[in-house]
Amino acid sequence: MGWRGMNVVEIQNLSKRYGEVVALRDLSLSVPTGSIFGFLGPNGSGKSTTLRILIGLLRASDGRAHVFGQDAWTHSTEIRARVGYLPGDARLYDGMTGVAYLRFVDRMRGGGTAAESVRLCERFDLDAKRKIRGYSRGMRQKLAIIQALVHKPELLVLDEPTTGLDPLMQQALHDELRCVSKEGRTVLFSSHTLSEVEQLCDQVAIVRNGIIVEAGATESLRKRALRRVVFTHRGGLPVSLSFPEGMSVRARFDGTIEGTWTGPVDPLLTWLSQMQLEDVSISQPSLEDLFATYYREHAESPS
Amino acid sequence: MSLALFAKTLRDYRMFIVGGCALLGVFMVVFLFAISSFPMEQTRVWMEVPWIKSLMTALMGSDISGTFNAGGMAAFAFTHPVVLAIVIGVAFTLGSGALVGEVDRGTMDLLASFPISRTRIYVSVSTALIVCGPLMCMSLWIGAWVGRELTGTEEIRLDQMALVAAHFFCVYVFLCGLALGVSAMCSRRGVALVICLGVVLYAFTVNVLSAFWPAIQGLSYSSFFRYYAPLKIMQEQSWQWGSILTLFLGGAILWLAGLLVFRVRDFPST
Repeated sequence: MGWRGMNVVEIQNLSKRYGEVVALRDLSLSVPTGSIFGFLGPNGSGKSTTLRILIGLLRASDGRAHVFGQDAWTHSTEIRARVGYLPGDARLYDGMTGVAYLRFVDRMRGGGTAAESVRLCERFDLDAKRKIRGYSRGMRQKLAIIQALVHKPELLVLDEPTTGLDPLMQQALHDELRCVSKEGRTVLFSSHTLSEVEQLCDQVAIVRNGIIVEAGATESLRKRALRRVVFTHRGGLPVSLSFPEGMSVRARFDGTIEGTWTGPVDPLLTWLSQMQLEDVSISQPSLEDLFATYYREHAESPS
Repeated sequence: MSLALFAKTLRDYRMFIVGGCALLGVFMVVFLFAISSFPMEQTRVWMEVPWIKSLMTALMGSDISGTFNAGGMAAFAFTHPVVLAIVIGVAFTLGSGALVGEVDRGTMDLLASFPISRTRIYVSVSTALIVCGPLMCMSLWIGAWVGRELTGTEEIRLDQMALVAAHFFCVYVFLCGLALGVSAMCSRRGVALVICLGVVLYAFTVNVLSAFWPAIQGLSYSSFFRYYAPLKIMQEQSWQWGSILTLFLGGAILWLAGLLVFRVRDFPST
């Protein structure tokens, strides 16, 4: 309770092994107080394992994980009182109604959450009177989100919270998380959607194969201005097509080029305008594009 | 202990518990009705057949020859396969469902994210399971009382039946320890149930075979059925403290082993 640190979560050289399988390798991470921290990575990259270690569901094989300055394993009960957690695939008690489940959560958390649960049910437009058995995937996700938020935790740990939510509810959740952050509380959430993290987070860590590839302010990610570019040249590709600096070609077929662009888009548009194009698309990169770029950069880097 | 979790566990299995108790009571009534209306002399002849005598002695824990009447036969109800199946069913279904079942279904993720320690989760579930024991034993006794009133069989003594029911509770405690201990160590409910049923099958087989095959009599000490002798309790009309302690100690060791594992184990994602 006497914790007044700058970082809510401090992870150092965290490793988790399941027999021969290594899920996390020397992962280090800091989550500043009051931030919305995005934990980005593809499926199986180690995001959920990291979050489960923070909640005390898993025990780290090596390294240390501290939450509120306390060890996440030895002080897990005290930590969980101040944390709201949403698992990646939240399973609820099918035989209960939403109201009964929230009442159960209230009792398990020592009471005082009734008013907030009513507010959140209205906020997320959830009919909590029905049996959970009859809920759709999205409704279950909403209820699981509400149980994580209902006690106004100092730290929210959400594992892919927007899964199963429609765009309207995703927006409602984003707004709610921004409110949480404004109140000085911290949000740590995992995602495999780059645009979501870019939109919402002020801090980000990118993980792949149990290793942090990149961590820091989302602004630095934005500065890279990575974009996915696909264009089709009319009449097939010219034999001697030279690409400007910033363009990285990943595939070419039947007059079509697929690649990524790093940097401001003006030079890209100028270059494209000089060609006879049949079609062009410039969009957010996929995670794979992002990782391919980062890995290339890491490989090229002498360090 | 968490009262919320205790209440939830009982609520989740309420139909199962109530159904189990009702079945036990009804079975006892029907059983007493059957033995009171069956010609006792004919039964006595059967009981003289050596292998039947050995089998009944193994099941009831004592030779019935000396007390061959409706009261003595009533002891058999407490080891009847139907009664054992109901009690084992309740113990294993609830014991596995409330621990490894939560892990298997994936609901343990949220349950273990609440601010209560794993020890409290384990104790709450254990308490819910244990309180079902007196309810089931009481149902058997009430069944005996109703059966006695309906059949007018004076030989069935309710004080003796209460004593046997109390010993039966000790068997239930052992079964709870087994179910909880195994459940705490497994991640799949099916695996936990197979292990628990395997132990029961082993105990039953060893107990019965040891009556026919002296070579394995030494093994019978590893069977919990050896420490449950309803007919002997009725005949001696006294508490079998050695058996009671053995069953409680066995259950407690299994329960404690489960707790130690449950406190430090990983909860893998489903």
